Amino acid sequence: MSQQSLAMQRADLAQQFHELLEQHRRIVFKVAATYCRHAEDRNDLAQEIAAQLWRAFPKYDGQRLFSTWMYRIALNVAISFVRASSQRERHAVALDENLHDTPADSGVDHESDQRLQMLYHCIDRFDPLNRALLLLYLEERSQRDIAEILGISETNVATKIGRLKLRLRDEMADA
Amino acid sequence: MELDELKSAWQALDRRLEQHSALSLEVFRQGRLERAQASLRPLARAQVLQMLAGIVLVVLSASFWSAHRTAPHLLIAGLSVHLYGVLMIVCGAITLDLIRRIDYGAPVLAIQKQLARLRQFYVRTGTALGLAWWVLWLPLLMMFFMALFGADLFLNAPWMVYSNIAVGSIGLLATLWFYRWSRDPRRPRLRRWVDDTVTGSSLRRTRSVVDEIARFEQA
Repeated sequence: MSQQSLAMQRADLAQQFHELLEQHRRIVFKVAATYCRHAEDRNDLAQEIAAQLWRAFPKYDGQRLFSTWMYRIALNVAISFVRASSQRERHAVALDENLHDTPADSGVDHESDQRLQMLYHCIDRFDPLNRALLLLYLEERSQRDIAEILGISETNVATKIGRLKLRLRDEMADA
Repeated sequence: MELDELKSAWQALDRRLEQHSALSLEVFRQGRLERAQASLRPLARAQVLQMLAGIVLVVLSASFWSAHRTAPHLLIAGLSVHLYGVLMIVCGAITLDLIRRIDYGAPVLAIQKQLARLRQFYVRTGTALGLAWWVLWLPLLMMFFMALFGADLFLNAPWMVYSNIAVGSIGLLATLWFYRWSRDPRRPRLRRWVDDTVTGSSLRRTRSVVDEIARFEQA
């Protein structure tokens, strides 16, 4: 194959990737927001996820849901990122910073801020794997999707979600 | 706050991120994607360096022991360094292969297990390769003196070679014994301290990750 046609193929692939990423970019930001509290960490993680998605894209099977594939990569990268950076104490920052570096809907919404603070408080109490489950639950993904993304059985997902809800209720009652 | 409120807070976050992500689209421009650092790349680079160092040791020791086949102590010294070099290459190659097999598009639990296995492997082999220096420095020193000055350390100062082999072996055995002794569940603080100082905190962290994955896997 000539260099020119290889370059064209690559450009097509890049175009296809950018379109899909544009459609689903919120997944990247939500995963980054779930795992990182510091704005700088969040940007680093979002970049790392995007880079890994691009690297893995040639292996993506178009027959499968792009969002499922994207969640797998984003969560895998995020969990590894959090584990690798757990020695750095950068993300152990006040929760308030979180709320200031994401623009509010309109003006200052204290009630919404409080809810978000509570949400982060809950998320932060989960280990990285359970955090992935919590994110998928809050995203209202089906149990089948969650099972496919995490690599556990649907029965196991159902049991875990049951436990997750109980734990969330306890956490919120304590808070 | 009820579960429904938690979900509505999540949706509020979603709306905020929508505005935020519009500002951050530049992150995804291809040029930056290409330059972004893969998290496992430094580890892969370290393995390549380890393998190169192993090759240097193999080449030097092979030429050394093949030139001194008639002197058993020099032959043994050369073969020990040769074996160590081979182990460095093999461990580096296995680690590189484990890195190569990682496909982030696979299910989360499968990849996290693979990553934990990779980490466990390189931390353990790294510790083993490090501990070998209790005795390995001596054959290397013997090779060095012979190759550079033509001086046979064993013939000129056998007491030095024997005493250092003894000290190195005792040191190695004492380290291994102390490590086992510190494993006793009645000494949790000592265990933690030893883990952090002997293997760095890497092995302990790896174990806790493996335990976390096992707990998550259980229904």
